[in-house]
This record gives sequence, structure tokens and C-alpha cells, in this order.
Amino acid sequence: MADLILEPYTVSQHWNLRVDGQWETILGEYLETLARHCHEAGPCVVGHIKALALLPAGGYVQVSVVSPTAPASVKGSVPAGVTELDLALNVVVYGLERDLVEHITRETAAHLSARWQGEVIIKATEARPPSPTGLHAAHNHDEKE
Amino acid sequence: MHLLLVTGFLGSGKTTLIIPLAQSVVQLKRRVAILVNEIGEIGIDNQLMRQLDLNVWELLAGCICCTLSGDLVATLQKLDADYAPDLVIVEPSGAADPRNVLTALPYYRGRPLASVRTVSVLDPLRLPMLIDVLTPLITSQIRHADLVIVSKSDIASSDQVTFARQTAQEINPAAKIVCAHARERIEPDLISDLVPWLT
Repeated sequence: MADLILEPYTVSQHWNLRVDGQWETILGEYLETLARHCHEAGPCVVGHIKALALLPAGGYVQVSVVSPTAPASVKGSVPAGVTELDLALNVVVYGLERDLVEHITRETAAHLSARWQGEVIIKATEARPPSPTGLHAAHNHDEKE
Repeated sequence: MHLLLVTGFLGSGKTTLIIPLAQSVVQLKRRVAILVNEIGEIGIDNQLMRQLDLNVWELLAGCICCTLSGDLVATLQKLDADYAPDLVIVEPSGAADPRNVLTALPYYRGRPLASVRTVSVLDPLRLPMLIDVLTPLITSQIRHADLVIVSKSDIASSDQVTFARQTAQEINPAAKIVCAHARERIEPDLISDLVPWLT
């Protein structure tokens, strides 16, 4: 475990796509692709990649992935006619640096949104730098065992 | 105030367990508060729980088993003073070591805790890999549990469930081990296992 750093990446995104009623599938594909690309980027353990969009008219859609090979879990739904939504995304992957995870997240969103003739705008990115003590990189568990 | 600490690795099913449990206890006219600690500055679980009208308190941008352990105690005291719940459910991040959370609790100075119960949620699908790669964390999450819940038993193979049960038994022979999977309503037996003081 001591070899696997943990630098979680959190971001708010605004998605604007030319779609109607396909959000659950698209967001599921987004997170599944993220998990796969993280896995391909280097030795790592996908902890949890999860996203939530609260809809202005009420309701929500929540998507999560815990493995590069398992399908996304989707809860809630997006009503027909919705073409824009705000997505909170939390990517927790052991072993990959935050900058790399951010790059993968941006590139995957860009490719996916282009396919749907839309765009993804980054609204806010977690600015907190990695802990100088390596928060959760090892948690010093080994020393305490 | 009773405290239920729900631990388990990221994505093991903690939130999926907590939501119907909290809803069930609320239906029994008990006051429930959920204290959620997520890694990252944007909470996702707490937004979802609020969407479902649950009483959620959050600790963000750190971990309650290390950098935020003082915040955990302070938040528990404020929660006790401001809301006086019958049950507070603490959900640490999946990267948290429950031992460190339990170590912080004696510094709490609110109403005495009527009970402290620790639950560990195990994902049988990933346990063989996790116990191999993240051994100290996963071991600690099992070792400090009063109750181990093997989640996702509806999609795991019988071999995976058996491995999870055996692993938990070997690490923590004193813990009760049960299987569960995601449902909108939680089984009465599981409620009894999680909050035995209620029944």
C-alpha cells in the first residue's frame, strides 16, 4: 500500500449535449471509460468514481463505478427534454497522480461530448494541493500495526 | 445518543446501506443524523442524502481518521447540542481506518453515548484484490467491526461470498457476519443487527 499514492480529484462540470433521454447511458459510459483509462494509465486501484447531477426540476441521476471491468451503477433518471446538467464528479484512484487523473477526466469528457455534438465546461476544480504528508498514501498504517 | 460507525472500502456499499436504514429509523419516529466524510471538496453522498430528505452533516476536504479527527468530535458535540438525535450514523470515507476514528471518540464531551457500534461493509467482488493490495486498511476495517456485512450478495458468486465470509471470520472471529444487497427497503433482521437498541 505504501507504493500507492492517493490524490483524489473532484470537479464540477457543466454538460451541454444534443441528446434526448440518453443521459443515463452517456454518463455511465463516461465513468466506465474513466475507470478503464485510469487502469490503462499505470498500476493503480480504482477506489470509487462517482458522479451526481441534481436536476433543477427535482430528481437526480447518480452514477458510480468501482472497477475498470464492471458496468456502471446508475440510480435516478433524467427526464426527456433535458440537454444540460451540472455534474459533480469525484475520482478516487489509488496509484495515479492528481494531474494525470485530471487530464484523463478532461480528455474523456471532451471526446464523449464531441460525439454528442456538445461540450463539457469545467466549472470548479478542487484547488487543494496534495497533502505534504501524503494524506492516505499510506496513512502510516504499517507503522501502527 | 447511539452512534453507528459504518466503515468499508470505497464503493463497498456503505451509502447504499445507510440510506434505507436511516429512512427506516426515521419512520419509527426516531431522530437520525448522518455524519458523512467524503474525500474531496464536493460531497456527493451528502447531496444525495439531502435530496432524500435525510438530516446530513458533512466533513469535507480531509479524513476523519486523521486530519479531521478533531472536527469529528466537535461536529458530534454540535450535533448533540443542536439536534439531539437518537441515532447518529457516521460514514467515514472508504479510505479511513476505523481504529483512528474510535480512538477520537473518548474526546467527545456531549451527552454520553448510549452505545457505539461499528459495522464493516465488505465488497466480495473486489475483496481478493483489495486484501492483497491494501492489506492494512482492509484488515483494520474488518478487525474493528462488531458486525461485518458482505454486500452485493445478489451479484457476487457463491465462491466470492464464501471467501469474504471466511476472510472476515479469520480476521475478526468475534464479529457477526451477514450478507446483504441493495434494496429500497432494509430487512428487519438487518435493522436489528445494525441498531439492536431499537427493537
